[in-house]
Amino acid sequence: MRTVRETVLVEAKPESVWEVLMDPYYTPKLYPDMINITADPPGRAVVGQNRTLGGRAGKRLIEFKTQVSELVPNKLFAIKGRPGGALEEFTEVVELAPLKRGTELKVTYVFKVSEDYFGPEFDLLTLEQMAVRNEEVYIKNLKALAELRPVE
Amino acid sequence: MPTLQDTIEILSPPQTVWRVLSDPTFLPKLYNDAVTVEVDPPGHSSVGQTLKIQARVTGVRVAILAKYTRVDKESCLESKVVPGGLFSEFDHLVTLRVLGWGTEAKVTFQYAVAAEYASKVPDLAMMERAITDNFRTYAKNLKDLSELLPLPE
Repeated sequence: MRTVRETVLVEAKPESVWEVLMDPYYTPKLYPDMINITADPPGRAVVGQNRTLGGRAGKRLIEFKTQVSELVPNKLFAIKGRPGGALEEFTEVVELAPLKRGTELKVTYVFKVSEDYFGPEFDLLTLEQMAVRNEEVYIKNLKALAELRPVE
Repeated sequence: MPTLQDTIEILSPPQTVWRVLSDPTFLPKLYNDAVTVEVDPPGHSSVGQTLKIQARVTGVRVAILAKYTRVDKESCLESKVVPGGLFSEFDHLVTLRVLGWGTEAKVTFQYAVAAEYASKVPDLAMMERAITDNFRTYAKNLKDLSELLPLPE
């Protein structure tokens, strides 16, 4: 199992970050190697919402299966993996804390790439590095999207 | 009205390219600055289906409203503007043609930024450049996504 922890200061209120987290259709823009998503039930996140994500590993199409596991408005957002996808184990916990100038965001990922899913042709270390890169970029993209302002 | 055209060879059959082209959930990956898309009614592209694309262009959030006006399976997809968003004019046409064992895709964009947006954005020239960058990379992204392969059995 691999654990990745990232912390960033977002120059926006926790409510703005929360809006991005609650809309599953932002997810392909948060992870660079995610392509699209279907959510069941469709729409904003609810505990128990199942998500199926199309993604890529190099030139190959892959799939991720997750479920929203915990929601504490403007404070905590958690996702866990479901069986059958590219990750054998997966949890993502996003913690939000208000600051004077915005929001402190802490993201913790714990994951394990599924050997059964990929088979023997793939190098697991390379896949793991790809996953880590996606997770590192996730928090930067979350910051960028939460800080977007409308045209006034 | 600015017009951009691009032609690209894709090493996948038209059926595969169409799968990407006609599924609106791919749009945020086809346009670099698109963030989310809402379609009404949900599902694959159909004539009259409306699109609301939220995008980030030069650090600001904008909406692009359009609807599909022509959907010919595995050969042609056209969308045009719906008033109220970033564009006052927007025509997007993609035609597919079998080319050997692959596909030739021709992509055309015609657009004009709505006056209400043009007067409000901090730097219109930078926004125009970002818009054209999105349109220029669309065909490359379509090729890239269409050429992805499933995992070996």
